[in-house]
Amino acid sequence: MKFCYVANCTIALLATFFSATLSAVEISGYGLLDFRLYTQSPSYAVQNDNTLNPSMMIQPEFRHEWNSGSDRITFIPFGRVDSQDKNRTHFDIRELNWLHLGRNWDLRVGVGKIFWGATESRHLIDVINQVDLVENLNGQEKLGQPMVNLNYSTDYGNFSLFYLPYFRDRTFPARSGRLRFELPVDSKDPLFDGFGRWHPSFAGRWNHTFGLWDIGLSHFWGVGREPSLRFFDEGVLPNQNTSVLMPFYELIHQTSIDIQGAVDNWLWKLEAMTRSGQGENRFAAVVAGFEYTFYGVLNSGTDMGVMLEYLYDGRDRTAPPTPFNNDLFFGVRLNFNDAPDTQLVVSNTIDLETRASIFRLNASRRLQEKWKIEAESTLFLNVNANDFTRGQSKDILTGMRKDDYIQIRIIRFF
Amino acid sequence: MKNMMLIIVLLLSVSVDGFAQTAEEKGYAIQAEVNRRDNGFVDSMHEAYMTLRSAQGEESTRLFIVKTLEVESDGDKEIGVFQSPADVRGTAVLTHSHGLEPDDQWLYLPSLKRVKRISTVNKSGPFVGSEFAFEDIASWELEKYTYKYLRDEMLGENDTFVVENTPAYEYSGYTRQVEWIDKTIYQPRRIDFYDRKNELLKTLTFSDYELHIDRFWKAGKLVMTNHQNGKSTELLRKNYKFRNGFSDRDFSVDALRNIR
Repeated sequence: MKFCYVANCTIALLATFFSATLSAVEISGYGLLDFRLYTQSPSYAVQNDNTLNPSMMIQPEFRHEWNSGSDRITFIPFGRVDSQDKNRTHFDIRELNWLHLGRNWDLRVGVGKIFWGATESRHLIDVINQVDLVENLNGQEKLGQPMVNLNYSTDYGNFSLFYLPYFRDRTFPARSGRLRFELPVDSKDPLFDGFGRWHPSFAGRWNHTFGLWDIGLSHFWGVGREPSLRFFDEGVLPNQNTSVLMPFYELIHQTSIDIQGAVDNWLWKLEAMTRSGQGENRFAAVVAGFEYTFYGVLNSGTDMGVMLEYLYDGRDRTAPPTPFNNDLFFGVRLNFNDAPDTQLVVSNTIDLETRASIFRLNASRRLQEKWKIEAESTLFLNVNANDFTRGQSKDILTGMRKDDYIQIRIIRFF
Repeated sequence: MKNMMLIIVLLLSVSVDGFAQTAEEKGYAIQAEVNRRDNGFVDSMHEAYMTLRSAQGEESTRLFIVKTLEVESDGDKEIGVFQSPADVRGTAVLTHSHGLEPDDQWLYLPSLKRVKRISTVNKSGPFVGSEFAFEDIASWELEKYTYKYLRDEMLGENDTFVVENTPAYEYSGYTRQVEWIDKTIYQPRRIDFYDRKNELLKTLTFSDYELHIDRFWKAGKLVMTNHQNGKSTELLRKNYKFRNGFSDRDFSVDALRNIR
């Protein structure tokens, strides 16, 4: 089935090239080199113990427009080669779609990417695309999603409908990789609750602007993108050499609201949802907070934003795991507003029950017209250790507690 | 409201060269005429080439496409899409301006497909690292300033009115601006900006004016010079196109997601 998906994409790709060679194709995109340094040896002996983890990625973009811009084909393939984790060496089609723009409607057919949401600390309601977890733990990188998407705009807001015919499996680090759970996830052979990858999902969304506020209401019905992780004890005790967690995907209903508003120096952000189909009972989850910006601090052109968000998630232990049950996120964003567009964001998300926290740093600066350098760091603080042979830790971060890293990324645009 | 304004404008423009007129009335009348001549373009688009120069002469450039939609009885709607530098290609800023009321503004980040609300309090901050502040590139609405006629003056070869503009909106970085308005085309030739301490901060010069669709004068070259830090920014505006048939929907939050 997976092969069918790849074959279909390949056929569509060839078709794109044939139609596109008839007229001009706009080519852009970028390639990058990552130098990631792990500050400690890993938790488990089966994991790769190299301090330096170089990795490279390429993502070209091909666009072709006709009908004076009313029709457009976009093709964005993606590939990464990683020195340490074989699951991180992966390829994908991020986008391969045809977009038609009508007067008050548009239609997108093919592989695409859709973002829903407003908050910074967690992308709670963003459910259309599957997370490409090996790309980044923050859940911001997504796999391409096959879709038919119709948007219709009226005086009463924008209405969107989605038909999602095919399901994409979440990516997970390999047994030997870093930034994984206590036991590795067998992402090759997931379990489905009585359906297959071609089980269709549907979604609908309405969003509208009311003065200073943007509001969206969405409903998703289909294959939940988050799997629960099941350990099958085949008469042996859990061990790092053979034990795996099996991803288990279920059908869900998810209803959500997202709000963002700008009032003076305040940006207010809310995402809330309720979901059924995973765990014992329907559950609710919320991320809510603000960003307050001080403009021109220290008599310079620098802006400093202070972010605070509260995260709650009421799911039970049989539902897909999340570290964000009852957490507080705070962060500072600095925009230097200089010619090379220097930016720095530091944040910490702390679990109010376990006191475990995830510290993040992101900095970026343009080097020249086509070059950019980024620094990224993730630190896991106060995460409890666990003896996995006696059962799984209650904290899903336990497996990552020695995976603090600092990364320098050099990007070349073309 | 629109009709009221029109009546006021008509009354005042009749008496531009009239008799018993205060400096404030005359200043307002001149700017109302500038505004009247700029109105009625319906919609426009142009390419903006911005070159930043440091005091040491280092240069960096940005290219963005600007589309504008004239809105009756409110501020204009505007969308700017970056084409370069490469790392911000496809990034778009959508502004619905509302005169003295706070504007609405959104930022579109193409890599994440994400639309973010952004605060419009930041009037005096630098636009993409340039010497233009956000308030310098925002849509000009008559009611955003109070005006005072200062004098007539020859600015080079151009006969001009000199008018003092005082921002009436909140969060401006300026106490006042002094503007030289060309008497023949009713367009600015130069603006001096005075900072919050009332010291000369920047000078903006307008040149290479061209007439479009027989009615609208647009400066092809703007140069902003910062006297306090020695930096300057040149803005070239090219390929103006008027009356493209843009609709409200082209300037909606949802249109941002399909922008490029």
